[in-house]
Amino acid sequence: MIDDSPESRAQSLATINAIADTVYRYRDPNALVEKAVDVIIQYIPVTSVALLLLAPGGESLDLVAWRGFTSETLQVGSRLPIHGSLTGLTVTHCEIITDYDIAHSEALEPRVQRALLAQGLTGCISVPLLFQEHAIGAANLIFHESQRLTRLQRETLMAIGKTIGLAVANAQHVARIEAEIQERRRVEAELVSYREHLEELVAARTADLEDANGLLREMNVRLEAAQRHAEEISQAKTVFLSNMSHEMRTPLSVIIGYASSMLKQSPIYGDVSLPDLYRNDIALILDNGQYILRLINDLLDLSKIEAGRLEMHPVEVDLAALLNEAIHDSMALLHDKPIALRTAFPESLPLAWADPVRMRQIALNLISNAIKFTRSGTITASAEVTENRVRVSVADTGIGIAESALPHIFERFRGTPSDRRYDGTGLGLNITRQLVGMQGGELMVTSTLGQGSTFSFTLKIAPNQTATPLHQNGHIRIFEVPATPAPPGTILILAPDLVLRTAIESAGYIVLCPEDQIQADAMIARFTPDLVLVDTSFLAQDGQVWIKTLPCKVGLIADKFQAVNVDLFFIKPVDPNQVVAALQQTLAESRP
Amino acid sequence: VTHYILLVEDNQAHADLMIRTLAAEGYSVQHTSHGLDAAAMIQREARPSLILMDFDLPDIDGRNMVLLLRKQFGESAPPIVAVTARTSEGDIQDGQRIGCAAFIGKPFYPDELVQVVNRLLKDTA
Repeated sequence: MIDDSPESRAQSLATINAIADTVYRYRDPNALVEKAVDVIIQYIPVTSVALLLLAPGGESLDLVAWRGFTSETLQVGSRLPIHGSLTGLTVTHCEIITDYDIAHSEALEPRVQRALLAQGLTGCISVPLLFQEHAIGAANLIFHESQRLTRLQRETLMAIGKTIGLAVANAQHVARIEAEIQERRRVEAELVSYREHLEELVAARTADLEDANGLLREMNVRLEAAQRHAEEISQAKTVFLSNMSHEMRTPLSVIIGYASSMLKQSPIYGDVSLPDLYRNDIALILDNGQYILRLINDLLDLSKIEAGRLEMHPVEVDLAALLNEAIHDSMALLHDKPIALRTAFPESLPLAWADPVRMRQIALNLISNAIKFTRSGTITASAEVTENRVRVSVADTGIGIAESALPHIFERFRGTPSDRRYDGTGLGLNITRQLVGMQGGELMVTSTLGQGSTFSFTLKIAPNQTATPLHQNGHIRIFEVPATPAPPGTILILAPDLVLRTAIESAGYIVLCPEDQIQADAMIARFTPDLVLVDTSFLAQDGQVWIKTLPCKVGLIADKFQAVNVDLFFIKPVDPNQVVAALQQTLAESRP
Repeated sequence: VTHYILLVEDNQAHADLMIRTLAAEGYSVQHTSHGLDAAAMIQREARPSLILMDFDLPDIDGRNMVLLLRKQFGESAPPIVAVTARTSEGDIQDGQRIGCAAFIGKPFYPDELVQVVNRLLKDTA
């Protein structure tokens, strides 16, 4: 091999340099070990060489590269235990082991031993691969016979072992760092993809939510439309009922009027009194006429309440006066029943805060209800102060209400027995309760079957204790207050514009709206309007001539300008406010 | 003195009931169902002591009739009583606003009509 001569020293240095040059060029540990065994074979006269590296954990050695022998059982990655093996000793002691007899060693893995001997390889030098004073593996140089090493040879091999060890350690380190970088990149990429996925997920969820929101909005719109529709229907119902009600009032007035006149032997029948045979039947006509009236009033009230069109106008109300009046007005309902109608108040009852018209309706409803269900005894309408409010009660000694029926008495058509003897519309208590609710109270009932019932509720005490005078009887009023002055002027409008009519009416003028020119003539003759406002489309062929004959000021509404002599001229479309302003100016000029 | 009352009412049966009721009380009643006729009658006949005015007339809104008649008579307008099937609180206030002396909502008892008329004519007498 190499002796210690100067040439050998130079050769030794050259070998170390050549090996170093080769192995430091490689960063990949696998490529590096392959090149390392190549360069060893090239520069050192060995038969074969094997490179082993400590496996992670340091308990075993992995065969990573070899040259110069073949084995069926050995392959890259073959693992040898560190204990009991030749290379194990090298690695543990960090020393070159020489002169090793392969044939007689017990410290050789049997597979390796068999493989080497099979090829006549019997001598071995095991060189540790060192890195920072530790062996990370070994290079086993194998010969056909045992070898002895000179000092130079030993130093050279140690230097080669250090060189390869450093290169492998560096390569492994770089590989670990690269792997780490790879791993970090992978994790980072995973994170990025995760985040993107998350964003997608969030976007998808957001889209879902938006869809749901859209659906909700759409449903809301539909709901609102449905509600509006329902309100419109409710309003239409109220308007219809209101119209129906007033259409029925005049015929009812005839029925009730004649029937009551007949029963009272009015002077309109002279001295002729009603035969008894008819009296009862006429009384039935009167009763039923009144029943229809109550029904109409109740239905109208209920419809207004439902449509939210029943307005409350609360003022200071003298409940004592109101209840006294209600009791007085209810006397007529007693007929011949032995019932005492009474009122009861403390000496200084404060004024209550309520709508007097509706309060009166509530009192009359409760009293008439009590009369209906009382055969004899007492009905008391009372008021008293309780917990900063005024409690109003109507108590009777009537038939009472069964406990099982109590929860239902405020329901429509459930309050009264179906027996028409009790003559109710079935709506009275329901309306009464709602009217009480609209005054800020709650209608309560206590009752004992066979002994009587008490209906009561409370009202706020009026903030101001100055009484507002009570209105007279509901449908009859005599106005004490002097009338407002007569309106400023009369305008006759011959135009289809309803908005315009309303605007002029709102400005305080009396507005006459004839259907045609002929009726207009009649109205002009009778009422001498201050101004006639004409839409040219309403005029007959002689329209222009007709205008000239008018005994008052004239305003013309036309599609385009016309050369006519009028006081006011408007071109369509007209602005009602401008028309009103022009009318006011023109009519003011005519005042003396 | 026989008071002359002008009744403007377009339901004939109802007008008859009112005419007979008032006549039985000694009043003289002139009746028409149209606003225009009422205006003509006022120009033609003697000044009525009282006018009963329905609000739903076929030709002219009764409320306008009240305003027109008040304008026509000026300061010396006789009391005008609204007799109407429109009986809401708003209608009653409308009646007061346009200068009615009283308001009678339908249906009513003939007695109630007589009471209102008696009271208003006693006031003006």
